Amino acid sequence: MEKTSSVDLDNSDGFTVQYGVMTSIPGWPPNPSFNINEYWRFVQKGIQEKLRQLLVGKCNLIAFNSDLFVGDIKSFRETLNNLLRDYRRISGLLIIRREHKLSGDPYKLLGSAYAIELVANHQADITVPADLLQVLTPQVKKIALRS
Amino acid sequence: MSIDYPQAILEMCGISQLELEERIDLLETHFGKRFIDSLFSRYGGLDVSLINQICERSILAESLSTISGFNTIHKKIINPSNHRSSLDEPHGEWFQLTVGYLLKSVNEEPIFEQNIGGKPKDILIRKGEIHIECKSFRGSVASNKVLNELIQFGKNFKC
Repeated sequence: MEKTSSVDLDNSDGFTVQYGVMTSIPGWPPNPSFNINEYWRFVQKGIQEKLRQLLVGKCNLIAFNSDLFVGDIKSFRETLNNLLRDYRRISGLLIIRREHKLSGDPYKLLGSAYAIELVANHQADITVPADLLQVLTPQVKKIALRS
Repeated sequence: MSIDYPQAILEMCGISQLELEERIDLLETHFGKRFIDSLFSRYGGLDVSLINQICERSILAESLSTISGFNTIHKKIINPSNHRSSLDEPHGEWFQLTVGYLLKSVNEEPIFEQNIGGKPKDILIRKGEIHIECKSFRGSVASNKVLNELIQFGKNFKC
């Protein structure tokens, strides 16, 4: 079986919405609107693609980055929980959120910290082991790649 | 040969020249000097985002290089026929390494790119009992352009 892609590209399926940029600086940015991806639709498409690769009788997780997510993470988590009810073969979703580490000086970027969170599917055929759940939920585990 | 990198950029990233050179050495060890040299010539020098990528990717390589299946991902990254290969492309493979690193950080033991029951698996943990598939969404070219303009504006504004 051929491996499904681990990346999805923007603009290929109309997964974009247009956002305007407002600043108090005249003439900047030169183009005052741009497109960003609709994260939710990406997730739905990603799940459909990855379903083909999941094995029956195994604990299957799907990891998504959430760099493009804009909105309330708590309500998004609830939406994911509801979505997972329809997919008993998926034991859970690993949501990886990247956060830039700033030093306090807005122009100093000290690298990235990642928050990793498991959204478990309690209706799954095979549920996530309790000890892994304990490590990754309900608190988000934050991991810094640079000190 | 040591190269003097712009001090202002190093300060913005909170890293010394020596630390940066160590990171670049690490990347050269794991991905080859040719691959890293080609990045520098393509980018036309260092900027803040490239330094951050160097730091981050060197940590991933150092941490994961001995793990089973790393070499398969490594080959995809340095594939000479992929002219867009970089410290961010192929995006899916770099994301796979990031997920593996994060799992390792919580004391799981990931392995990459195994074939189970005729199906290729991105990551396995717990001796193959838990299967993880990775899906990364890359930012649009347009939004990245706006962000880069913002970073550039911030740098100029400070100067």
